[in-house]
Amino acid sequence: MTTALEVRGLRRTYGSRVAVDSLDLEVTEGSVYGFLGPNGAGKTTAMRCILRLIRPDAGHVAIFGDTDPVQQRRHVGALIETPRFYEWMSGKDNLDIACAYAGLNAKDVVPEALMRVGLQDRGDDKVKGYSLGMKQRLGIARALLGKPKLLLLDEPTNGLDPQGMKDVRDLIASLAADQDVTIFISSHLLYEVQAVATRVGIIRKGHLVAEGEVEELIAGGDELEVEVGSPELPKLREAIDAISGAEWAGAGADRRQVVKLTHIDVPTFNRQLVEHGVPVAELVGRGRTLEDLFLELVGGTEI
Amino acid sequence: MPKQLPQMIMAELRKVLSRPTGWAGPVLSIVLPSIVVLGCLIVADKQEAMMQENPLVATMINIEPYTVVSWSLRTRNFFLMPMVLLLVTAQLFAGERSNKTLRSLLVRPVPRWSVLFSKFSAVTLYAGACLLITYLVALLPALLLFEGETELGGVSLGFLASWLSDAAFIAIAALVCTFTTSVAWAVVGVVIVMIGELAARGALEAIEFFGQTWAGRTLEYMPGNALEAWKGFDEAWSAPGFGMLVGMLVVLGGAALARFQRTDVP
Repeated sequence: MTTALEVRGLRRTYGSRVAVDSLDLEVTEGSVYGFLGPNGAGKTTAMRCILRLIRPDAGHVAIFGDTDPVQQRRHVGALIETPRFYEWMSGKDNLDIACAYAGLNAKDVVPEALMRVGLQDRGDDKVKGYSLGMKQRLGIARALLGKPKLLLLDEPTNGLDPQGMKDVRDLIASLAADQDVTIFISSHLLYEVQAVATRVGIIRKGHLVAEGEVEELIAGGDELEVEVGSPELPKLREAIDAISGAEWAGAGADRRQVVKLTHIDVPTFNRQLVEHGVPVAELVGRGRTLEDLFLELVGGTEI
Repeated sequence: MPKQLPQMIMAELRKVLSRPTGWAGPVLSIVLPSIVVLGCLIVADKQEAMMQENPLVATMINIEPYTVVSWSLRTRNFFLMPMVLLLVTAQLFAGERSNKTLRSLLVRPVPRWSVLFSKFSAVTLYAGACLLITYLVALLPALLLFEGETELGGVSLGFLASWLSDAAFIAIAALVCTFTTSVAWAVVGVVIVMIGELAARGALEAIEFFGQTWAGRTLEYMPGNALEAWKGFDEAWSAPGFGMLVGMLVVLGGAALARFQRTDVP
């Protein structure tokens, strides 16, 4: 597999504060990499260093093997935080300017880019009349100009309504699946990253504290959590206490009980409940989420 | 050098002309010489009556095509047009840093210097276009309505020197803009630099007055002297003045470029 983005020993300080320290990342071609961290963890600083918007104090960045920043940017489309535009100009004019800098023929690429984000009917309107969500879409359209091989997206769903968020998620999924675009996405919406990312890196205080495939990270070892629903609650509690490897962990949703299972699988647990005379109305697996992992690693810091 | 540099410059020019401040330049370039032409017509009209009353003064006031074009240039270069150029430059450099639109340009596959260069070139082209408008608006009525000296080589060279002077002024503004992200502070900063330079020149003149010849020699190389070199072009070619303008442009432009290369654009 080709490495789309390789970061080694990236460091950036602001005075005595270390924003990013010895950051190592490797993003393989065609993957969707989720870059997570609490506020102020150094995500945006790292992305800006990767794009050379700010100068790293140390470190090495290679994009598709290129180490020269100009060559690197030929492969990259970027959306950093809330996108900014020449508000007094139309959306189309803004994309025209981006095309001029990218060396692209605006007539060939702008209509398609506007179409892709659903702004084809508003392209001639002045940006100052756009909603936050429309600006975000226009920012994504700008990042997509020139069909980049690597897309760096910093909080791409900021300001979007639920439908807009879903559209962006679908767009990311389709770019990765159909067009083989590698996507490096930072977001504080963990469920969103879990829905699209194949691999994640979690950064805290400038350091990468975890990195790996999403499925591996959330698999979480031998422990399982299930929610059991039964009309006979006292009997259920007694049975849970009696079954080896099962431990009551609190009340769940809809009067269900949360049970931690260690070294016992779900069918066995279900069978033993029945053997204890508990009428099981429902038994729902509770998978570990990226959010659980994140909270474990960053200690519940606000995200 | 990126292949798309001409498109980048045109994109910057498009930005300039899409704002009201951008239109102020062409409007002033029409209005100011028109006022000069009108003023010259009034003076020429009074000159005949004056010839009867005070022939000595009347002969001193000689309105000919050369005078009209020359005064149009002087009026254009006094305060208003430099202020417009300063505002346009500040919006394009400091303004884009403060509203973060510069970020979207710097993530494109072009070297950093070319972004600054395209902005600088756009404002310089804009200044040149405004000068051309002034020249034409002054020249045509001057030749049609006034008699006398039609040899305009010197003053035409003055227009060229003014363009160089504008470019050097834009370079000063660009350099100041690398120290601030505020348009207002950029304007104030350039004004402070200009006032400081004026004060330094005043001090050198005073020192020279007390017999220190080095002060006089230093004065010749002050930036303000170079910026005003265009005044010397309306009568004769001034190679040192021209050289100083070019030198200033290179030094200030280079300094702005060096600072911009090292500036973080978060």
